[in-house]
Amino acid sequence: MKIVIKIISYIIAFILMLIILAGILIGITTKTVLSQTYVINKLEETNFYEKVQKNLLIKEKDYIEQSGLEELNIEKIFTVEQIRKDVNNLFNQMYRGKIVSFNENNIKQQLDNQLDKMNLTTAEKKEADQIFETIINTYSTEVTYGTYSQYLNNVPKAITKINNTISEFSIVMYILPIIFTVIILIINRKQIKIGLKYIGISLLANGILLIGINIYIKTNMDISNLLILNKASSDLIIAIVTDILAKLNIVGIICTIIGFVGVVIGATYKKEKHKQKHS
Amino acid sequence: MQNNFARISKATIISIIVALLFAVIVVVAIKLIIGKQISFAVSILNTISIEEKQANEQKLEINTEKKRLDTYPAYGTKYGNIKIDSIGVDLPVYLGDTDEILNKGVGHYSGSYFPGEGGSIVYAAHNFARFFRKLPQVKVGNKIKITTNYGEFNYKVYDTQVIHMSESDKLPIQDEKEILMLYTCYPVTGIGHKKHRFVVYAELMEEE
Repeated sequence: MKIVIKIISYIIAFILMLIILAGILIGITTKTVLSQTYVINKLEETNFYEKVQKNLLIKEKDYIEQSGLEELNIEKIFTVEQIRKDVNNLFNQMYRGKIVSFNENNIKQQLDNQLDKMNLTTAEKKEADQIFETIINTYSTEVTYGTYSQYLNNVPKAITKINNTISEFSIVMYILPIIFTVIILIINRKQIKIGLKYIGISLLANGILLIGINIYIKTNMDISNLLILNKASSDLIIAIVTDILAKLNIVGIICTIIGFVGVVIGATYKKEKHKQKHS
Repeated sequence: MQNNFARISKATIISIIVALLFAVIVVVAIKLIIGKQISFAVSILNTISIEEKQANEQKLEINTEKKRLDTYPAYGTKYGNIKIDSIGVDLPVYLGDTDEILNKGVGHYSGSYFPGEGGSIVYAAHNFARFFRKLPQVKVGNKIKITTNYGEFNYKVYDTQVIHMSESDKLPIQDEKEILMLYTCYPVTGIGHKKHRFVVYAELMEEE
């Protein structure tokens, strides 16, 4: 009977470990990549808008210099505020499950307004329109990744699906650990400290896994040199990944410490029982 | 006291081993279920991340007997540098001539030979101010230096021409003599699509 209780306790401890692990990973994901506020904060922290503007102006100036439209003042059009507005709008659409689209009318209008002040012939204005198309396409590519829209449009669907799934299971994720913890304690109600030992094992295993994931990623992936699309995006993704790894590490350490304490408490209980037998 | 400590330690160690076993079971299960996808993702991310870092470190070697490179750089990577002192050009050279490459520097037409191989080398760059805007100012006799990690090559300009973009025969690919041809859209200023190209022709200088 004691052996049966032991086996059942180990099985429940294993299941508890899995549930806690899932809860931790879901919790961290929900608070980071699935949170629009978090991502927008990271955009500000990594000076994303300024970096995009710097890159954009270099590319746009290249086209403008060879176009002969040197009088165009693009710094007035492609401001950090304009970029912030368009990028945040892009993320807003993504996190609300909408199709990603970019409204170029505002930029086209500003370019046309500047063109009207130049004394150009009709033929030159027509050529300028073609150049404006290139300028707007460059802006769309650099700022809203317009050329990748076919992939980007999968992101809102994925985010909506994940959020819906998490909402459905979130109550379960919070309640299940409590249920399984109580089950272990009930099974081992005559030896509560032994029950704590099993809970400690679950937490310790979680801590080992989380710290192990951290070490694996850091040793096998060159995170600091990630290059995705451009420097601004890469720095953003590096910052998010580094932050998530740090969170995993902290939670892992906490689980390890609490788990270790639980395990030691369970170990001390055996000592008391042994004393009682021989007294 | 010592016995108690030994017993507690033993029990603790057993529990730690069980916890490790739990972790190992999870790792094995993950590896069995999605191990391949994880390895693929890691290798893709690493390839992307170290691409820029290693591009400059890729060691190329030229077989001087056969006059051919033993290994060629990956398409899209930087393998050298071009310097034209007379017009202040000092730019990276990439293999390939896609839009992405031409926005970064000088593109090497991949159907032409490499410096040192004794054939036609064709380089192109946009007529942006930071690239080949001043190319039309190059004169016969000006020197051009190409630096790679397998050698340094010096060329002397012997001709410049304005050609129509359809005149590809004015950029001949041959392997009898090492000729460097640089071109850019022409005219270098003015509104509109450019239908002409300004070409600089230079021949390899004999080593002194």
